[in-house]
Amino acid sequence: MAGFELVRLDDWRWEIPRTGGMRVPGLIFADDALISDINKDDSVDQVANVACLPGIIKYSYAMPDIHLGYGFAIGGVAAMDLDTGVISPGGVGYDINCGVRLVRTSLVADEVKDKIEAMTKALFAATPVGVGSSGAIKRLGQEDERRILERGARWAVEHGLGTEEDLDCTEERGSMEGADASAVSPRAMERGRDQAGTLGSGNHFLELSRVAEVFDDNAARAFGLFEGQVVMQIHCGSRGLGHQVCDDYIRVMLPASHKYGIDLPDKQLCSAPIRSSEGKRYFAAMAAAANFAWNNRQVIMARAVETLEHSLSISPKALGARLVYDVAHNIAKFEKHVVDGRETEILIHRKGATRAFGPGRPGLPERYRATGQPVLIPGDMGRQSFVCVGTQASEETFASTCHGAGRVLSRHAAIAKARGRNIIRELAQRGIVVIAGEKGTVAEEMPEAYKDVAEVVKVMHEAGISRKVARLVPMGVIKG
Amino acid sequence: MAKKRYEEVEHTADIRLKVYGADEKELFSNGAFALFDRMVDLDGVHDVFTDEIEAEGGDLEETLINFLSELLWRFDARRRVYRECRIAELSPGRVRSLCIGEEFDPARHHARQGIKAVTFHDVKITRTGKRLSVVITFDV
Repeated sequence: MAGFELVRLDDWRWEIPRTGGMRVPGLIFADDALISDINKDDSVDQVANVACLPGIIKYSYAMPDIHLGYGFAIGGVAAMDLDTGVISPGGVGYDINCGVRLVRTSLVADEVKDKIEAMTKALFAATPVGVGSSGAIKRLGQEDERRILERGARWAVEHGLGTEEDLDCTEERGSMEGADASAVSPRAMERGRDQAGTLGSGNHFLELSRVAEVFDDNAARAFGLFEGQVVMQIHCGSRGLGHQVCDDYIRVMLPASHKYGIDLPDKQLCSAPIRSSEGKRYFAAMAAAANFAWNNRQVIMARAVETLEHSLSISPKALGARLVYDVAHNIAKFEKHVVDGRETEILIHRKGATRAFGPGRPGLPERYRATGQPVLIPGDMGRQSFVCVGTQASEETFASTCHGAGRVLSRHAAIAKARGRNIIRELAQRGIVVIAGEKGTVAEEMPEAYKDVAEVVKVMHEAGISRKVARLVPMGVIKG
Repeated sequence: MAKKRYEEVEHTADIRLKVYGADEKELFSNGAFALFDRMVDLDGVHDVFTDEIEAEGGDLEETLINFLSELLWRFDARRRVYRECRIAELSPGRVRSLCIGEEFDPARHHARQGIKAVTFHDVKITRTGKRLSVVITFDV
């Protein structure tokens, strides 16, 4: 559908040359098969539209898992000059700091395979999931919520739900600088209050997985991963609070775009200069919502770890649960990168993309300084997920890589395809226990609804941006 | 046979619904029905209370999106689920509606699909013959 001639740069890179209002070219990472998928919808047009925004630096990037979003495509990265650039809620998305964390354990999959069903059931009982899920943290008052927004995962740690080490192993230490609860509307606060510590619905999940394959022994050792190990992935975001922050600020940015004379090829790209009062206030609110999400994943992890100890009747030491890392997939951040040969602070939007810092990069905990940052790329519930590592070469994309599989079937089409089938039983026959809050979710989220994440990860591996470390396969999955 | 109040339009990542109405009021009422029908099985929702809900906007489309966003907020923040919204007053810039429903109870009600937001994506009310329609995209 796209009206753009893509220029192939090499096996993994395609350029959208500058035309019309584009200030920079577009750069899409994909192989032949993925590029033909990408060309089926209007996401290439969206990459080109983002290239029109004031202050964009170098390229409007698209990761191989790109698909159609609003304004910005999902899987897009846009870095902005602080003086001339804009910040856009659409460049982050509705689920602010939707992200994933990976918890390793000392358990060996073969030794606990008879207990996976009981473990998954116990985790399901202990984790509020699904539409309207609430009440994970009892008696959470307005003041507590404000503190969560300003302190992020540190709030959970201060309340006995986690350790300092967990914060070391979380992007931004789970607490983003510049967060201001007063920039979050009372309506967003009210929408979030009951939802703190809940998983939510849709593509969010908690999964017990087995490390099926190690590609990079050194990095796997540094991450504490070994073949046959049981690990846990937690994928969720900022729930209704983040959605409301995005919704509120789209309403602020629509008139602001007009006020600052920003010419928009698409209304959903509405934005304001980074240094304007509207821009600063959105960043402060977005950072607060990001903190809310980090606290959610911290609370869910702490509860899940405790649940596994009880379920298996083993000590914390025997379980050996430790956070490997926690990454954001939907966020805007101030970061220092080399622009025109000079280290410069920029604002980077990652919407459906993962930060992938290479070795030696400040901001990484000591334990990952030598290897680079763990990059967590979840797949669908039937196939696999990947742990990768950021490289020095990732500077090409301002240290950004892919984030997941991306849908190939609409929810409607997935449900139609699942009709007459029992997806839960099909997965059980393959040794995967799935428990869902709503049975419709399982059909919508069935493996065939997604691209194989291996294809996506391979492109970024071959392009040199993020290298494969380990492959995880599902054993027990909880869905909303 | 009753006329269809809404139907789904294909969209890979999110949900797009085409909502119909004989007039603007019915279009708004059917939009509210479509939103809740996607989120909850409304057969199990009883008439327990009636809430008066208002919304404003710069034009009819914006008023519609703001109205649906307000309903979504009521569901998510206050656990209100509405089986039916009757439109009492409607002008391009303002809607006043009476919504009938009850408190959402996960133990008793059957939830369907979480919706994050009602978007402004390509929203345009159009007339075909005697009927109005609008395509609304929901972020899920």
